[in-house]
Amino acid sequence: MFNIGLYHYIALTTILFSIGLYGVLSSRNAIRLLMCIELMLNAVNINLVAFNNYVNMNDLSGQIFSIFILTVSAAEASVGLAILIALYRRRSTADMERFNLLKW
Amino acid sequence: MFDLSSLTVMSQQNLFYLLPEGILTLGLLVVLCLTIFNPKKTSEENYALMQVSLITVLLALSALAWTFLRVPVITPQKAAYSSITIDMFGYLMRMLILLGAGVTIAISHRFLEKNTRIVSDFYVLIMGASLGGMLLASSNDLIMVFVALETLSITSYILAGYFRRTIKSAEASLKYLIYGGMGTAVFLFGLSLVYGLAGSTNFQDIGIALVHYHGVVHPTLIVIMLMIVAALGFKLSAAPFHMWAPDVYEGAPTPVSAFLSVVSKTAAFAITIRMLLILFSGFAEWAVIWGILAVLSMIIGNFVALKQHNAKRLLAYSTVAHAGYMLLGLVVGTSVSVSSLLFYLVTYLFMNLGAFAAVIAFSTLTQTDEITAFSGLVQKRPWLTFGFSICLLSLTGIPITAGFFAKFFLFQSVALAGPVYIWLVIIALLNSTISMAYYLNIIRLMVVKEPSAEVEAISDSAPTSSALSTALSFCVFATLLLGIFASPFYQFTTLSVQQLAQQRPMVISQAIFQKK
Amino acid sequence: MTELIQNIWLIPIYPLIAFAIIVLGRWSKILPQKSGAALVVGSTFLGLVHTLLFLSAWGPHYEPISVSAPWLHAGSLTLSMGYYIDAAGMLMLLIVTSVSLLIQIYTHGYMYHDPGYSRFYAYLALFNFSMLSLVLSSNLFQMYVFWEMVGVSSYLLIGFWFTRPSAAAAATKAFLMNRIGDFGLLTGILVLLYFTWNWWPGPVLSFTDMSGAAQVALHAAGPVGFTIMALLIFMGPVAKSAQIPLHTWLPDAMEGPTPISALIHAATMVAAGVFLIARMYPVFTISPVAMTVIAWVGGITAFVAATIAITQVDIKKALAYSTMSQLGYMVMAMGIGAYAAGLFHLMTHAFFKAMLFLCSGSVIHGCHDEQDMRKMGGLWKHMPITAATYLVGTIAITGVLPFSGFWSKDEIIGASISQPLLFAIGVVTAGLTAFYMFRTYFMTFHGEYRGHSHPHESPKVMWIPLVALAIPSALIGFALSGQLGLPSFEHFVHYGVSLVENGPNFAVMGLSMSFAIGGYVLAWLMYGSPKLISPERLKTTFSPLYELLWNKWYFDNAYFWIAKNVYLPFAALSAWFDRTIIDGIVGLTASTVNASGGALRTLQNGRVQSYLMIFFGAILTLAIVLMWIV
Repeated sequence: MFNIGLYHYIALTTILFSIGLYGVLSSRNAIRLLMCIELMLNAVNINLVAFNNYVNMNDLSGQIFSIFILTVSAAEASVGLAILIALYRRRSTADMERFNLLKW
Repeated sequence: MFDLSSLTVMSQQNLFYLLPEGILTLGLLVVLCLTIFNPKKTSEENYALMQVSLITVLLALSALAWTFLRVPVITPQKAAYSSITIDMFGYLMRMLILLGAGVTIAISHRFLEKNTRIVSDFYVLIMGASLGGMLLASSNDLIMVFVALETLSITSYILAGYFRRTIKSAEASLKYLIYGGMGTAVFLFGLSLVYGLAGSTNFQDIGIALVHYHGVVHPTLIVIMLMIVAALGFKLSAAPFHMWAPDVYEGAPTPVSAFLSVVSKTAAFAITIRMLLILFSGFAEWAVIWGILAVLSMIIGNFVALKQHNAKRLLAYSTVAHAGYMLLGLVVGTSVSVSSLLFYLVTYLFMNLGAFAAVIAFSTLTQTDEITAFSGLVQKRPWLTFGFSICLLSLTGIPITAGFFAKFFLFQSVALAGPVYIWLVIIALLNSTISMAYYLNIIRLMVVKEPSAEVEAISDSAPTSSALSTALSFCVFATLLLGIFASPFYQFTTLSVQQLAQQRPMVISQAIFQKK
Repeated sequence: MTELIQNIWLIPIYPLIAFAIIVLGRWSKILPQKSGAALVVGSTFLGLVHTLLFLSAWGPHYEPISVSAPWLHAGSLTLSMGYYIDAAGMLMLLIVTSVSLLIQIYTHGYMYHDPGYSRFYAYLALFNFSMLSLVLSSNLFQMYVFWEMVGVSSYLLIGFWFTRPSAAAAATKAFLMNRIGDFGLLTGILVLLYFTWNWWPGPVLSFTDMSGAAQVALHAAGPVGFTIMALLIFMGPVAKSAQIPLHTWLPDAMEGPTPISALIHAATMVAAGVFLIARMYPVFTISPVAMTVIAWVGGITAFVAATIAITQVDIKKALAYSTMSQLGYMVMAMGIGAYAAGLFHLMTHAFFKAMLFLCSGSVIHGCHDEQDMRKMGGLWKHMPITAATYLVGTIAITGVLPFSGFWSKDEIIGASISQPLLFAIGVVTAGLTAFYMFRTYFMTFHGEYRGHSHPHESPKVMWIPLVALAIPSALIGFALSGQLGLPSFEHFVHYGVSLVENGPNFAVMGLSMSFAIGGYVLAWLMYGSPKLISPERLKTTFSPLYELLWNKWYFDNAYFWIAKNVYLPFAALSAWFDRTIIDGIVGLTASTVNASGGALRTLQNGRVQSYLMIFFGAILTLAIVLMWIV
């Protein structure tokens, strides 16, 4: 077995971030898109907690930061869903391809 | 770490310096309570709530002035466990944000009354966003940056979709949220890596920790910087991270577009300048990145604005172009150029808000903001035309409006920084010549053409909102007078930049960026 | 009282106050519909009196006076505001106040029935304020500010009749063209500032220290950089004084009301370009290349504009090209070092060209808004005063002996003798000038009336200014020529030790005047005489004389043949060059910008995911670029 170190965490978060990014860029469903953004934010959270553990153990600012991110991203997601519902009522679709009234 | 006595002392300090924010929060809560208990109100009640909000903002402004005069900020002060810096730069930015919020509230009332039944939530959201902006402008800690930024952003998303029954408004809001959520994720990833490098979230500690990396070319550093720049560029609506702006500005209610183009941008510039000067003061790469962004913003903003038919969309591209001009000040990064940038921000606030106020007044009268509909407006509403024209001339940069002096100070500070930068100035001057084509086109239409059908339909008795006309006159006067009496403002911006420079981890001569 | 007179900066303030009163008065509806004339005329009169009082109190040697106060502090840069008056400035002050005064009186008659009467006077006051401030500016920056203000007021005045689409287009074109010039000027100012950053002993960019600054800049920038800077500054005058290639706005600007054409596009604003060259003379004189460019731009403009003027049938357009041509002379004079001659011509031209324009206004007014000279003719009988003053102006501009144009224009031609090619251009253009000016005169005032309305003489308020302007048009050249025992113009206005000191050169003047007379004779034969003697009647009664008449017609035919085979192709070429190449370059630039705007716009396809793709694409590209650069 090998020891789990900081680099493994960074690799994990990078992969997680990229998966989220791919999801954001490719999914047509708006809800899936919002979830992918959450995925990216979770990558950040893991990053922060890992750094807190490996780089500076004197205080907990990294972990506190991650809790703030959790809280705020929940707010952001709820606002996103609310807007999506408002839009869904008018358009009866959650397909991102259809939301292109505003252009040029 | 902290004993109790020091905690009390510090918290007292916090209360004092953050009095404006406190007043704003209190007013926000009052209006919110009045709103949720009685969501559908008569127009008198709405008007009263608008006045309460306006008074709150004015109170916050006077509190800002009072704290500033009461305890002069000779050296930068820390507050709230040094997550907040109190310095002149912060004061300037908070003042701008409050002024922008006040004007936005004043210009939006009649427009909202006409378009929606639920009016007063709007003021709550505007005050919330301003609160976020004010905290962002004086934050000194990555966590504070994030929380303040999200306070500003999330309220902005809701504001953009305020007319939720309008498809365009809802679509603008969703687009803004997705783009913004993405921007936040990227920003946070960059910040988490900064935290990883420095082991702290405090600006000063990070600045000191990053001194090691000065002059080191490392892919990780470049990626971190680019992530942060991209997210800040999104907030500043600098090309190529500007793509959200035209769509959101067009779809969102016009007062929201005004707010986003001014307050949100001011806050974004505040944090950009702060992070640039304190965190990353030793990295030459920033200058190159900002240079590319500035040139792209100027070119894309101005060129695409030429082809626009909608006044809001045109103003959106014009804000992209102005972000480009302002970024020139960051490219050079001398204290003169940054203070010129700040002066530009001050003028930009008034002239852009004035232009938006005029568009709002017009669309309240005619229910359209197509550019061709402005034809012949002078025959029906000469003073509106006059005010709009002054703001547009100022945006173009024609003497004796403030816009000219702002451009002149900025461009000369850039040109004087070195021969390389003269090219940037020439690009900027050419671009401002191009920009004249579309700004003047509007003036030409309003003054010279036969009235359009929409203008013909304006009845002489159509009421004009007194709040809106006062706000517009205020902006126009400021635009005219700021140019002629620029000196005191300029001195203030100079002092602000000096105080920012004091907070740098180490002094690196007058030029912040030294080419390696 | 003396102190009041000393405060010469008050002169621009008078019209500003008038402007404010009209705007506020009309806004609050205190002032009636037709008001403003008395205020504006009064303010200008006050300005003229103040100028004259100041002149009489000014010391015996007319020492330049410069007063500055700090205005804007930006970092280590302090810009100041103040006034600077020297002989050239005093000259401009006198021209602007006196010509404006007469034109404003005339305006009362010309615009009386226009619904925008008060607005027009308000704009006039605004223009006067800007122009007088420009003249009194103590430093280049202040001058630039008012330079733009003058542009804005000119924009308002050209587009005054906004119901005409062509007026709107002309106003926009004038503004855009001028901004291209201003772009160069501002860049030039910034470059000059860059090189002389820490040098200025007094206020930054002040005219009193300009020659020292020029030396410093030359030393710092080297001759090539310095020349580029000088040429950038010269771009401002090129646009403002309608020199090739930024001239096309001036003929179009004739869409504005005629008093504006007289005031702005003949006497004052277009002369500001020449005035700026005069103020920046210390910079230009130490760059031989810049001087050569200035001289040639002026010479070519003088010639090309004169050839175009011949083909015009619109009386105002003909006068507009004539203005361009005369401005070309002035710029050429500046370029060959004849500083005094250039400004002398500026003065005489201001008087006679303002008068010619006012005459054309009177004609247009009398013929009920007809501007086509083919529909005029024989107006001598109907409007004798206008015709007489127009004749005085025509003689003055062609440079016939005692009239003012003779002294000033021929001094320029005389000064250019060291450069034979420019000299030839000057002399030939003098001939062309005589031809086209007498052509307009004969077509308008001689022969039979060819229109359909009932022409009448203009009211007194319009012809009195004409007569008042006719006096200086005729006499001021001779009075200041140094021939009458009075001190000559160069005694007052000169640059350092005058560069060209050859006084009136009568041999040269004789040559150019003979060309002018040749032009006159040709014009008379073409347009004057056949109208005096009706060919039809002679043909029937005096058949022996028929041959003679035939010969006359033959001559006409010869002219037409020459015109058709030699001149017209050339004129067509000039016009083609003007419309195709010059407008084409401008148009091409505009359409390129437009097209790229359209292309960039398609990136904005409305899909937020493609925006995000660009977001990440940009980050990646920037990362690659940075790794590669750094």
